[in-house]
Amino acid sequence: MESSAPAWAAEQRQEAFRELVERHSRMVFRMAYRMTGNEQDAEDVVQETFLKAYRGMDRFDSRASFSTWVFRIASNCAIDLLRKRKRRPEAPAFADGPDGPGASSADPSPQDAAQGSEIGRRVNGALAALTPQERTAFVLRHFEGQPIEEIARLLGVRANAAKQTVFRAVRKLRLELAPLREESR
Amino acid sequence: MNHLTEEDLVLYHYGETPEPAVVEDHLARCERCRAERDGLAKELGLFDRLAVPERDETYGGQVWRRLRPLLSEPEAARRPFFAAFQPWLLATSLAALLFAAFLAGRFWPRAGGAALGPAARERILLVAVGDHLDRSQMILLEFVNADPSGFPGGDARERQAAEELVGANRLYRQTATHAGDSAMASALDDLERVLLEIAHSPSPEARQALRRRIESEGTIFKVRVITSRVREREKAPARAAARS
Repeated sequence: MESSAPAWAAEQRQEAFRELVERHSRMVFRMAYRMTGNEQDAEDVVQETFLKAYRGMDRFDSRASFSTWVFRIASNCAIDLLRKRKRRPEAPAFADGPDGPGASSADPSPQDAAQGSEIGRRVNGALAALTPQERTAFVLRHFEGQPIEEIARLLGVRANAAKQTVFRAVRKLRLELAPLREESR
Repeated sequence: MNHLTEEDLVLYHYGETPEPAVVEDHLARCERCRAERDGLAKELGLFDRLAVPERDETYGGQVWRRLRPLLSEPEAARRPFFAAFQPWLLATSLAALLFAAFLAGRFWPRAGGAALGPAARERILLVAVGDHLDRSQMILLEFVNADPSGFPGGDARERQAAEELVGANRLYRQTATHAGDSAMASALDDLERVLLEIAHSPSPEARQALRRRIESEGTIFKVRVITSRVREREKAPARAAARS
């Protein structure tokens, strides 16, 4: 179990840390990419996260889970980056669109492709329309499954404010997707 | 009958309803709210299809290789990097960039050695950045001139070399940004994007497209120009000393 490993003895510090980095890097990258919407920014967050984790290892409570701890550091790094950047994050590509990195290998019909592309455009545009705070709250709640209490802690606000931020984000996203709803009727 | 609000349904969707039984009871009886719930779930489900760039199982190892040189340095010497992000230090771009050079693990002062003067520190810094740019240029040239039908494994080595340069480049770029050297930060930013793409372009088609783009955008030429400027700055103190 990761939390019980005698990882924090000085002579084994780096070897233990290597294992943790190798195990958790992809998770940190995924979360950072969804938060920042930008590959390069996500890589920055990954590096900064593990540097901070290494330097703060003495403060790590070995009874806790390393993944939870590193997730918190990564969230804070991403939030800091969004705040410093002062521009809205980019939207990631849409998996089902014909141009998305996760595009299906089966050839879609022209109609499906056009529809997929339109949905992708709307969904990307909806995410890009959120403020950094709203995007953070939505990503943490929707993709990362974080409870409102934890989102509040990470954003440095009260639970009720975090809840309202999630509501606002969902409302904005649905508003952006409203034309799709109309078209499907 | 009071219908469920959008907030009620959002909380229910995410499993955060304080009294789920009450919501479920209402949903069982109310068609309109069921339709609202289904619509919400369908729309939020669209976001699950957003793609995240692929990072394969070797990614953790790549991150570790970038981090490793930064972790091996003594604790006391590592602290100034974060100190460099304090406002009072931002003005001292030279010192901040020097810390980045030290962090890259290339110019570690010997214990007990004499303290370096500002001129020596500037020279060390410029040499470090210049060397980094030289290595980057070499990788770009190898990448552009690589024979796609060449021996197997060449691509993997290029990717690994690019990956290693990304870590050092990031440090120089971040520090240059914080130090207010926007021209250098912008140049390093462009370089980093290309290095990242080399490191993460596994398909031959993507690599071929990237080669064409590097050539059409004159990326190598731009790196050469920055390198020569850095080298000029490196030589300037010696020239000034010779004149005096």
